[in-house]
Amino acid sequence: EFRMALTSQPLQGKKRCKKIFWAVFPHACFILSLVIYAFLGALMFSHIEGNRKVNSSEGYRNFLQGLWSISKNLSDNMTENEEVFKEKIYNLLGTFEHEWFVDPKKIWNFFGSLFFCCTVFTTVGYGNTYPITRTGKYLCMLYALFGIPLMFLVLTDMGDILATVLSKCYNEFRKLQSKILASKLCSVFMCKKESETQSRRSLLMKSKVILNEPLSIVEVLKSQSALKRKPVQYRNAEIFEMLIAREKEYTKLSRTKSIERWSSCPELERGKTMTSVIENFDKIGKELEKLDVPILLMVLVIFVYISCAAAILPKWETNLDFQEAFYFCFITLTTIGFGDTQLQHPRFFLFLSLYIIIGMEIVFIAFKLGQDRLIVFYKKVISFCGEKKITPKK
Amino acid sequence: LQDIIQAYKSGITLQGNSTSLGRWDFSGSFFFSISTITTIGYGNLSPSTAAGRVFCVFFAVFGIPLNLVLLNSIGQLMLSGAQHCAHHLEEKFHWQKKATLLIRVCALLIGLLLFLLLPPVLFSAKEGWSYEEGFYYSFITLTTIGFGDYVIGMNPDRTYPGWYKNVVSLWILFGMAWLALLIKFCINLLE
Repeated sequence: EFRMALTSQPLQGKKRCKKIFWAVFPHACFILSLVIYAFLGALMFSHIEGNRKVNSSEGYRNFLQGLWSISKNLSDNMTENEEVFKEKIYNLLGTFEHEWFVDPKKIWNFFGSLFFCCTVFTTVGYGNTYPITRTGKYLCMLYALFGIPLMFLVLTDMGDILATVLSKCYNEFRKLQSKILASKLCSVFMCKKESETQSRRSLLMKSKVILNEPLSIVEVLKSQSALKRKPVQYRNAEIFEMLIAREKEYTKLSRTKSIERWSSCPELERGKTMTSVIENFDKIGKELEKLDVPILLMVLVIFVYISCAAAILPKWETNLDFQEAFYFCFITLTTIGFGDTQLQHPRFFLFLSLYIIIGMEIVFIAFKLGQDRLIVFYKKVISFCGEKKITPKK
Repeated sequence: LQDIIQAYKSGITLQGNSTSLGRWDFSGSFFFSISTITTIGYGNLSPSTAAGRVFCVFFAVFGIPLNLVLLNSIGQLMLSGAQHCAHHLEEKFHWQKKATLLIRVCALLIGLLLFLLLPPVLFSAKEGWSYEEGFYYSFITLTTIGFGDYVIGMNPDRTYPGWYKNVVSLWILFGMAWLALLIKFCINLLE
């Protein structure tokens, strides 16, 4: 036994490292596979689209011919020229094709193709670059078919982490709120009873000690028999009971997680971690479904998040001011992606890819919450309409 | 020359002589709203005034969850419809477990036909695209990527019948719901 106690100390350090490794590994695996997929796609598209033969097409030559003949037939009068030029060029520019003025080697270099691949599997789809060759289009569809579910998987996986962080912060905030409420309650009680200081102090001390564990608030309230007759305290009691019910839910959930037992047999230990790792794959997305924070908080978080990027972006995109950058970030993070805003340095935008993934995450969670709230709202409306219909019958 | 053409191209959508889907009249704006809340985002029309952009942001914040709710309910409808059919067939022919698999495969094929294989025929008839281009457009639209290189109803030389836009909007709605259902199915299968 003594020998085991001695040898278990360095082993525990190793075990902890292993634990951390196996906890982080699945998430890193997903992200890494997405990155590899993006890189492979970039290589593929830069090869296929970059080597497109640019033959000056018939249409391009006719366009240039038309332009030349219009400018040749202009008179010397400048103001007359403007009107005539505008009119004649209107129809000519209608025949414009984007592909004439695009140099495939420049646009479809590695970073350009990487940017394109990102717009495909995030489904943003700006449309400033798009495949023109037939193979490119088929490949694009195939790439999207596998890339979009992979992206969705990464989003859901990271969403779990974000959801746990959010709900923990929110719970801490609510605990703080309940503590403040309870201390206010005790201070109100203090002011009304101006009897012995000792009993007050003991009461305060008693409540101070008990408040550290929210489950015991019920005991505090039950022990104060005077409280039973005061309606204000009743309301607070209801609030506390609701809070306690919530706490019970969360503690119940944490108890259902598998309890790892320390065993002296390392093979068993390894087996346990592997099974828990494999089990965790099934739990992807479950945290997201449990999330229950107010939607206004999520909207606030989104606006703050986008404002941060909108403040930084104009530093290198000099033709965007704060409002335009905000609009651009919003349209990107909701994956709408109009493509009306032209980026001067798309490469720098790639460096923000972690920001973009987390941003899409937050927007995704907010939209999911919005969905749930909408359904609740609809249920209320329908039940209200249903009640209205029943009462006239009576 | 490229800059001039770039600037002029955005000007073309604001001025006249384009199709009704390329102007900010009712049908063009309706198509724009749909492309926003389904997050397709073609970009052939996009707000350029500051007030328009602010409104677009709020519109999207409320519209996208609404769209998700609608897609979910349509998906549930389609699923229950398929299950009803499976039930009926099972009762009639007294098949066992094979029936559910058959029904699922059938539903998948019907959905594929209706939403991915037939619409390109319509597009090639009305837009003058080839079948492949129509298929590419359908795929890019239904996955909500929406590059904007192909957009329906943007050719000023062609006349489009009145029912065209409405049918395409319906197709987008049901097609997206079907695709979302398909992805959920695939994820369930993988698990």
